[in-house]
Amino acid sequence: MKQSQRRRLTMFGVVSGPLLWMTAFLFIPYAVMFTYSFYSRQFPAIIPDFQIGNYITLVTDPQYYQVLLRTLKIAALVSLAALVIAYPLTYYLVFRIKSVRLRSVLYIAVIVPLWVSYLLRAYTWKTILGSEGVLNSFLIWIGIIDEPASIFLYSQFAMVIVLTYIYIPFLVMPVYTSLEKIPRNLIEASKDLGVGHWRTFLRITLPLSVPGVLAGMTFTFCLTMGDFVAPFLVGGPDGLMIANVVQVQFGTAFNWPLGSALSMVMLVIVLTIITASDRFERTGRLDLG
Amino acid sequence: MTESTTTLGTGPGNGFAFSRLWRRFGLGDLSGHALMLAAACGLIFLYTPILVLIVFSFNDNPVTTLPLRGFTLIWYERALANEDMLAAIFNSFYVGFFALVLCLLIGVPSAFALDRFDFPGKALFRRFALLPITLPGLITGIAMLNMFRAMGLDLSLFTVILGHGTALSAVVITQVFARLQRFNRNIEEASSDLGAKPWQTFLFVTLPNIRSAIIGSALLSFTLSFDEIPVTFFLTGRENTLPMYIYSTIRRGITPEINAIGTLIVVGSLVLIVLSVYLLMKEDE
Amino acid sequence: MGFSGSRALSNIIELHRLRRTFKGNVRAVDDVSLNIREGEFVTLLGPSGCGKTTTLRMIGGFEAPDSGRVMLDGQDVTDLPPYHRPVNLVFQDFALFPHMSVAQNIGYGLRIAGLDKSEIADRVSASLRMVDLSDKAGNRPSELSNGQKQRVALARALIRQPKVLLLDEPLSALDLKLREAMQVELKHLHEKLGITFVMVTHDQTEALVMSDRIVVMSGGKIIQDGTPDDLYDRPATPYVANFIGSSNLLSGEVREIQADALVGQVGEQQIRAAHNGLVLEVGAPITVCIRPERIHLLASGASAPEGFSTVNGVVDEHFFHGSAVRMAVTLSGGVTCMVDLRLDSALGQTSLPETGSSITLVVDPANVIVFAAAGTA
Repeated sequence: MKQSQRRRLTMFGVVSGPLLWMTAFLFIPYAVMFTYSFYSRQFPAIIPDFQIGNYITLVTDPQYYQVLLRTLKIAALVSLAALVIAYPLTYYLVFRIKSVRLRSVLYIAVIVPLWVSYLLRAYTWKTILGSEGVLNSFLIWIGIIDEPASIFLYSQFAMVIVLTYIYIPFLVMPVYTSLEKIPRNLIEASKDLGVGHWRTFLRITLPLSVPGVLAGMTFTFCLTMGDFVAPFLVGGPDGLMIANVVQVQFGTAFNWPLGSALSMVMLVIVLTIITASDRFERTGRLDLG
Repeated sequence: MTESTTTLGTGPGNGFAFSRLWRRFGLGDLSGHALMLAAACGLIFLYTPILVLIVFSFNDNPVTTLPLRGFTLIWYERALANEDMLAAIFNSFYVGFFALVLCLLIGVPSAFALDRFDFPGKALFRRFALLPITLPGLITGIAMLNMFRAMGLDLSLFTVILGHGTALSAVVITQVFARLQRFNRNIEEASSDLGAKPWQTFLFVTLPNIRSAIIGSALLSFTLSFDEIPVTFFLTGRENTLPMYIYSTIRRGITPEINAIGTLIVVGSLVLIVLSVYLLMKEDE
Repeated sequence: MGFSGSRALSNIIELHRLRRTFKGNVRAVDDVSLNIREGEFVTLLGPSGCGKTTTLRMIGGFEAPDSGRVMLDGQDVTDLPPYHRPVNLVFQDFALFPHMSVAQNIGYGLRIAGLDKSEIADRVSASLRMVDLSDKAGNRPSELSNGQKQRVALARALIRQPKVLLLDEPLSALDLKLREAMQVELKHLHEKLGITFVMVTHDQTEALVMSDRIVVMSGGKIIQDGTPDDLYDRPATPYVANFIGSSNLLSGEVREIQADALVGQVGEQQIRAAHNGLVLEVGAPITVCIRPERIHLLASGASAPEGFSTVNGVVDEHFFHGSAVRMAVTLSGGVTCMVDLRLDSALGQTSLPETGSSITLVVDPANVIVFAAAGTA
């Protein structure tokens, strides 16, 4: 057997399994979902069809597009809030901690919560923000307020806090990678030339960290968009996000076609944002050299 | 630090003059202190909820409120006596283990395929393989649910395992691929040169050198599977995994047993994760 | 070229018309044919990209030729993978297994072959003694210096007693002093073991010191194949002339054809070259090739030996080379050439001509080589 034949055989052996699996369990499911989004529903049956009624409902019925807009708004707020907290923390880690050991330890300390039960971490905020919760009892204890305030929980405010909390490590990771990559001698050169801290930061560090920031914010934005746990835990009646609506379609409302259509819309939005952010990241990098 | 009469362009000079003022009044490195404060606040913010969880799991009060009463282990006792919860925990281990195996079976060959071969559909394959971690899990869960329905497959722990295996294989793929990219293939050629057949080279030379990436990402997949919600939510049948159980319990109201079981999970996960991060960050000998 | 009486030894390697083209139509190896006799030390020499490494890898089995055959000891191995060929390769970056100790690295080939543990241990110990690394048996490769790593790589390849040892730029990772020492050591190793060595390098000094035969390659083709003497004194093309050692390559044209020599016109000067079989007409463009150390200074008042050409020029610059000084001299007519002067020159010259001074150079026609100038090397 010739060498090239041998290689082709190996390739077939290695590639075919994963390829088949991905086709069966990713490609086909998405295709099926796409198909379902065109079916119609005449309660209680779901009828195969090809109609865009579901999509039209999404754009015309305020019930749906309002929720979508609200979701986008919250996702944006969360991304920004998480960035505001994550960036100084990361900057401090990368540039102010001199010992590599300590930096690694602190970095791990920041990243690790990311993988510790999302549900539980979000749940603790319920206990913290509730009317009998830690925050309220603390405020009463030190005398700032007399009786529990109910504004903390079951509001969009609460959701933003919880989601920001969850996604801070998500932002720290890419920003950390970006900041670490900046050649230190660039910054030293800038200081050498007499430029102060703040201006060095604005002119050199910040622009070079943009790829990481962008990646992190994109990630956070997209994942927040698809979240249904936080609204369920702390969102309250007016904190419903698009993912919850989808949930309901596959649950009690039993309107799978509409649910699939909603999912497709989410899919398209998320993919668009990711592609746009990818492209922007690349051109950005060219300019920043 | 140099005082600068910078000629490097214009720009707001106010902040600049301000910090000069601070320094002159001996107030030290303002930016440094402010930064440290911001960093500390961030870290505190990150860990407070976890601390609350742990502290209140020992608090002798069914309501999570200050001030603290006495120390008690009653919540732990109750949690560990809760049969539904124990069943859910067992299910989570069961699912986690098989999902881990599935992730490795799919992920390791995928990583090799992406690193070493050019095949038709490679770009599309790469896109799809990484989709589950970039998209909200909800979408993957729904998509797979649709398909299982269309196939007539009933929902059960089996479907959950399939879902986790597919969604989390991306974790293994990214880590193993990254390791393969840094891998010096000369040693494989050397092994072949010394008489080793391809399977021997793979076993004695390739695998040992990517071992930490495989183990680290396997541990990570297990941990993520243990805590997985969005995909699981749509693919669960009658038997619950732990997150699903907690989810339905919370819906009924907060019970302090959740604090107890939560603490156990948090501590357990922390140990597993630190281990896997340590493994992933270390360079193979 | 070749040795007399060597016809008794068989060809251990025969390469028949090997071709290998890479993506983008890069012809890495273009119709290469080569025979190597048992026990020879052959070097493939050339700059990066000339095809020498690809050729070596084809002998080892790491690259498959697009067309052509590779014969090893009479057997067609073209389709055989490396693990079925009786050759072993010492890699340029050593390719030691990072997760194994030195002893395990060396013993790996034997372990694969299925030998039992005690025999492996014995042979590994002997091997370690041979390369003088017995005290490093338990160390990991990352703890060794480059020189030590190279010895491990050698031991690992030789323990399997291959018929041919391939070496891919074995000395490139070593610093100068170590390199010179290893050149001698490798040559001794070759003499002691008696097996065939095929080496690839871009360093012509290495090639000259170590090889029985040198194969100069460029652009995927073999340019010249011969002993170090052959290549040095009788280069086949200007390219080889300047790749091995250095040469002045001066353009000119044929001025006169004599019985035993050819006179070329370079600038305003005439230079006499001994015939080397080239058939040229008067006026044909030529490249005149003279090595800098073969040009000598004519002491003022002395006369040139019979038949030698004299050339006049002005000194431009001096370059100090330790044991010699290289002068850049502009000959009348505008052409520049390099002249190497040993300061203890036998022609009685004891002082260095100053820059700007006029000098007369003399050269033996036997040391002047003429190439037809049409086309490149």
